[in-house]
Amino acid sequence: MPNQLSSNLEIRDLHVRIAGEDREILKGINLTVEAGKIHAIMGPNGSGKSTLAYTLAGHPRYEVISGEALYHGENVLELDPEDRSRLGIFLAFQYPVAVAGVSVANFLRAAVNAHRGEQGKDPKTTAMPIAQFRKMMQSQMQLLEMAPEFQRRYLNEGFSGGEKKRLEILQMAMLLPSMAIMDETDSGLDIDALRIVANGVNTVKEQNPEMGVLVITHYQRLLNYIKPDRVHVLMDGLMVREGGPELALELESKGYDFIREEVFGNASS
Amino acid sequence: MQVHNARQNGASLAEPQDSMVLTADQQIALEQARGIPLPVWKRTRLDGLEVDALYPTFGAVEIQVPATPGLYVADLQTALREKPELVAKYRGKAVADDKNKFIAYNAALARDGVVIYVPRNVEVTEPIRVTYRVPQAGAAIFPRTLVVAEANSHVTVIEEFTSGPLDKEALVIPVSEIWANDGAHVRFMSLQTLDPHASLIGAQTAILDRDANIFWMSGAVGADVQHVDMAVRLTGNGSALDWLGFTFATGKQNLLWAPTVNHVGLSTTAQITWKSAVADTGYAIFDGMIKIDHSAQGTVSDLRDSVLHLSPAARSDSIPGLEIDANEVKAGHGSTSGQVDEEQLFYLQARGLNRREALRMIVLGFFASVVERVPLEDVRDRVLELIDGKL
Repeated sequence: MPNQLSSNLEIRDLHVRIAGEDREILKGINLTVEAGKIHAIMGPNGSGKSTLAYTLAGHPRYEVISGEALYHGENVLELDPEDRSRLGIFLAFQYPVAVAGVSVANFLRAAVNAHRGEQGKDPKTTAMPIAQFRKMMQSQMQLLEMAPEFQRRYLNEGFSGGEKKRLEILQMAMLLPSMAIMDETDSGLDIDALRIVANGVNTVKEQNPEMGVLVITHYQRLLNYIKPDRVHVLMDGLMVREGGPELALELESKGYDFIREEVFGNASS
Repeated sequence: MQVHNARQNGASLAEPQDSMVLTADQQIALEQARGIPLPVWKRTRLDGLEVDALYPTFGAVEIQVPATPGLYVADLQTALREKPELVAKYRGKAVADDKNKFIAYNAALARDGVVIYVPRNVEVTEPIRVTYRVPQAGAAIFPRTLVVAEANSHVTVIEEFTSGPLDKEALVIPVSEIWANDGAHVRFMSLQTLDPHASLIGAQTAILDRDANIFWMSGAVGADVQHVDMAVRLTGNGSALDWLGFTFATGKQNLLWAPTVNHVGLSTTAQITWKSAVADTGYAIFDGMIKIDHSAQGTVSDLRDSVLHLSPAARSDSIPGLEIDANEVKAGHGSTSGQVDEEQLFYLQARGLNRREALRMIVLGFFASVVERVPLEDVRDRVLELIDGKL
């Protein structure tokens, strides 16, 4: 694929604030997430990790001041959220949203068919046949150790933390994105749920080796299960360090302060 | 089309058309109805109703009856000939003929109607379907539904007030009376799907004897103005009510439901769940009341209504009331109203649904959590289709 239509996600000098506020949260992020690779972003609370995730997915609360995020030749920051999704970008939410009266199965079907739709074509002609959809959903649910009755429950309503995160991975497995962003997927999970969710991500990645993955996390723990190729450290809205998987281990043993001291000096902590 | 002028005050209906010959009693009732002033309703827009320009008509009822031994179903005219005592015993006993001007007109002029009589222990497994259709613009129709379920019988009645497309006003003034005797199980589903030029002003009442129960669904998506006073009287000990309602007011629709539940017997239960959505400049009103009499010890009663606002100019009023005269009761009510949650929209958009599809899914979901409790699949599907059709 020619470079200008790269299947890497290239984030260039990205400045972001919350709409209606002055303060910048992201202060010039540069990052390339390579197709087929797993990148991890680590950082302390308030560093801008979730802002980056939401901004890439198009949440209206975040306003891009300047910069771009190029993917398949488009600046995705100019697209509606649904068009980013159809382009292959998937955000696994840190806090998945409940929608009463909408069953998991109906929602998944609508999402799958929205991805299959084509401009100017009757959605009925592009929709996945229902039998094929059911088979796909059931096999993916088995993989994620989800009981069959799960599909009839309302979207995230009354779900436990682990169930919500598993549903995020199920959506990823059904939509097969080419670029997956995992926003603190480990938060609120016990070790068993974490293992199931991480196995799910790894399985989708194995089925889909060209998928790029951006794992956003506060803790190194998740990276024992989802092995990153590159680790980036985000602090105060800037990427301050980059390295291999060993950087995550170093952060685990030393905490974030040693980097803060190196980058900002003692005064700013 | 023949239009007569009203004789006296501006709120009178035109003279009945020639083909509708009135008996002496009906003529007196009509005169009485004319003498009653228009009700003063704060939340129902009556000024748009051109009552003078409408003429009473009939021939608007369609009835589908499942073959069931013992079941008696007839249109009102036939029932008046075949079972005059039955009609006399129940008609006008649950809803008073002089309740208001509109109901008085129904009492005088009702020709279209259905009488359903389910004898003791008879179980009608398939629903009885009654459709009242406005025949043309300018018409006023006076539907009358009478359901008598004798002890331990089972019956399901699906009633619909509807019309084809109309280019000017029409008026539907329905009265429905339901009697559930000891241990009877009644399911009553009433849908209003009129053209937005038509209006509906009516009254519906159910009276439950000992251990009787009723599942009642009230749904409105059509009409310009709707005002329905409804009542369930739980007179028999151990009687029970499960009531679901929904309204979707769009355009300039003004749709009101006023359900009252009156607990009279011992240990009666009621669950009332209402959902409304309003869009454009639509206006939905839920004026609900639970009344627990001094005699009604052991009552369990709960009333919930929620409204979803889809545009800033749309309005809703929720007036849930509670009057308790007994001391051993469990009763509660609650109202919620809100807008579509931006976080929900974003979540669905982030999965590839455009904003319109996402909104549609959220609104259908809002109603689905009530509609899913309707026991008939075809009614559930139809209700969701009707709502979807307005999105």
